[in-house]
Amino acid sequence: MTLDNACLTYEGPAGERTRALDGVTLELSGGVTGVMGRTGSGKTTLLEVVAGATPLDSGRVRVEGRGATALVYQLPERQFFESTVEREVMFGLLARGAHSDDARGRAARALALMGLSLDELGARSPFSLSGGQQRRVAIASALALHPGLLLLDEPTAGLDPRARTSCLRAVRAAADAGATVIFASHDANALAEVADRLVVLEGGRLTLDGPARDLLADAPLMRAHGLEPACAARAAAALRCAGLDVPGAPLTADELAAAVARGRGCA
Amino acid sequence: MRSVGGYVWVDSPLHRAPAAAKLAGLMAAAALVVLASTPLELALASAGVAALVAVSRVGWRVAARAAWGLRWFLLAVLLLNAFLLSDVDPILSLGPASLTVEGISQGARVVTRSLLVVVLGTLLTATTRPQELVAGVRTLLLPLARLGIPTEAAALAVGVTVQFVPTLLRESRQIMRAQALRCGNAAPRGVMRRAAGFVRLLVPMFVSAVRRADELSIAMEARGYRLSPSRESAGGQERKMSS
Amino acid sequence: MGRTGEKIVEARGVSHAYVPGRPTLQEVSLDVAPGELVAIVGENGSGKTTLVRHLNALVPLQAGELVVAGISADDPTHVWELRRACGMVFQNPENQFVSSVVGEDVAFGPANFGAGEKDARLAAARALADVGLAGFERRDVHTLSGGQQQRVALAGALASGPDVLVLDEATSMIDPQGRDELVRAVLRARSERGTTILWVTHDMELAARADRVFVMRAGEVAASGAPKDVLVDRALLEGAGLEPPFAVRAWEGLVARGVASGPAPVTVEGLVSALCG
Repeated sequence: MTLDNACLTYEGPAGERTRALDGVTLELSGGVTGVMGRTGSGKTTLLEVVAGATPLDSGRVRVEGRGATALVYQLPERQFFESTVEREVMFGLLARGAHSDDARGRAARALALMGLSLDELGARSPFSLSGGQQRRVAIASALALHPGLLLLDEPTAGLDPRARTSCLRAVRAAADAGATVIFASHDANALAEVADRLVVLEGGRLTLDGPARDLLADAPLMRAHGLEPACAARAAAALRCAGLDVPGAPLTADELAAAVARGRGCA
Repeated sequence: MRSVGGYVWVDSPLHRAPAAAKLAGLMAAAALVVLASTPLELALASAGVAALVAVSRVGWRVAARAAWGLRWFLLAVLLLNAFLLSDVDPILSLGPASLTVEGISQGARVVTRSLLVVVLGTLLTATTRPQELVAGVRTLLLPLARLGIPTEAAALAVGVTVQFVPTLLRESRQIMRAQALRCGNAAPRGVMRRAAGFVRLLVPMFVSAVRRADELSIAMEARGYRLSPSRESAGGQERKMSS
Repeated sequence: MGRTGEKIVEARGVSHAYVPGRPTLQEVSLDVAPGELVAIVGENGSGKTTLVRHLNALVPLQAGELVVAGISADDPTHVWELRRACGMVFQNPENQFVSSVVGEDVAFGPANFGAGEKDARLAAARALADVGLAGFERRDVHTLSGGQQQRVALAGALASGPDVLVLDEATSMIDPQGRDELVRAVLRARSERGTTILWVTHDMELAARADRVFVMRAGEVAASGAPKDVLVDRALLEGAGLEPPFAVRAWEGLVARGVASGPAPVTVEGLVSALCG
């Protein structure tokens, strides 16, 4: 996926012009790329542009390689319209002319990747599922298309801890299955678990781009860009401030514990 | 560059006019348009509407946007009138349907009237902010309130509806985009496919509108809004039934 | 209408079923002291929302006893007193506004409770100032950020001068900046107005800052107590579909590595002082 100097301007309700994207250049292949930025920084617009749902004013988007591009909007379960989970997941495939047996197999595999079973849920109404199951069904209907590029807008928003964990596991599984994933989120802790690379948008401009671990673990840097650091990064920064030696770049609770233990060992 | 919502941010005499006057004017103008029947009257009405569009400075494209969205419907109205209205002196006969001069002129009349009313409505929303519109409804209802008719509920209903419009518009746009992407951006061809696409949009929009209305009514009740004076006794009955 | 001891919310054996035979709440008891900040945690479907909606009579009491600010929920004629005594802020800011004009929306509650137009406007102005949005009366709610919208909703609840404020997942749809703004505004309402806060949330870091935590599981209160006692119990929390807050998880790792011992801190600040203090 290549984005070359993308620019897009919106006219707001008060006539003010907002540069939703301002000269964004980005090249991605494989893995999970996190996109962070405050509300209104252009995250959703970036995903729509990459998906080809919104034309650019200037610049170019190119998506190479096999497979479709799939975009899962925030709260995707609110866009369900089919009467059964099976039909919901197969919808995109059938609309693209897939044979129904083939579509059924792909739907079953996509649901399995999300930790759900077509045999168990296939005949149920998608509206009757729990919030976490609905979210995963929505992501499965994108995965069933075998997307080369999977775009997720706030996939963990509003989920309880259990549903969130299964959603993150599923995102990782999709990336490991070969999809290039773009994961837009405010949730530094979620990105700390799944992202390989991180880009930060501010006012439609790309202001940070690098390995997710290096950026997410740097609490002062995250704060300087108006973002909330992951808990481990925040704790590591506070401990260093208090004079403790915390080596490395811990991103999870256990990594922080290990780093503190290492620091103590050296002292 | 796209604009969001119906209001067009320019200055014009129409923008500055009070909302209540514009609402009353819209109703009067719509009545005149519906009463106009001869070609001369319709031409005069069209000229009047065109003059208003020019005065409003919102631009011809904006003024025609809603009407353009109705083009297939209007075409259907024209054809149905043209073929089915009458069977006297047919120009062309296709089984039970016959194309007549009377039918064509009646169809043209109906379509012209509809177009003019739609453009007038578009002009109102393009030149009036939602909150001004609500205030305008209140002003117009004032005489009724003096007669003791409860108008506050009506004004509130208009306000709440207007408040939801931008949210629902944004949502419908997003649902359409999401579905187009899932279909692989292949624009649906054929009447049946288009109809099916419409249903796929309607289901989530309906579910969402119901959910939003439900959440809003709970939020309103939580802030002490009484749907009707008999509400308390209704609550009492519910309690008795359930215990 | 005397206050029951020093409790502002007192629930005894409250049960509820939307569908007969399938209880959403079973024998829930809960006491809250005036001015307390209480967090109610639990996974979706554990009955948190149903429980708190009893407090201002959005859900009618079916079984048990409930007294809020000295008003018994047992008597259906108390509905309006309860609604005035207990304000609510909901999850989705977009679905709680009755007007797109900030000032009109915030004045809606006081007007419903019988305040004259001028008093309602004054109450709205004061509530807006309290949430850090002084002078926002003429703004359009759709031009505000999510955090600002949620603070308008908070002002709408505060404007009627409630004794108890319930926040039901009020931070789950807004970004971290918005959440911090809302938390600050709520804490200020508590310290300046003495409002009692019941905060329903999935956010364990937020729960760790409460005075007390109630853990809900399958319609029952599985545990309650101070965060330092409740939020350190991994088995209990996992049984309720939750996980301990970050500081507790890090502490577990430290204990396993033999670097720390003793009771786990529940906040990052507590972790820092436990390790460096």
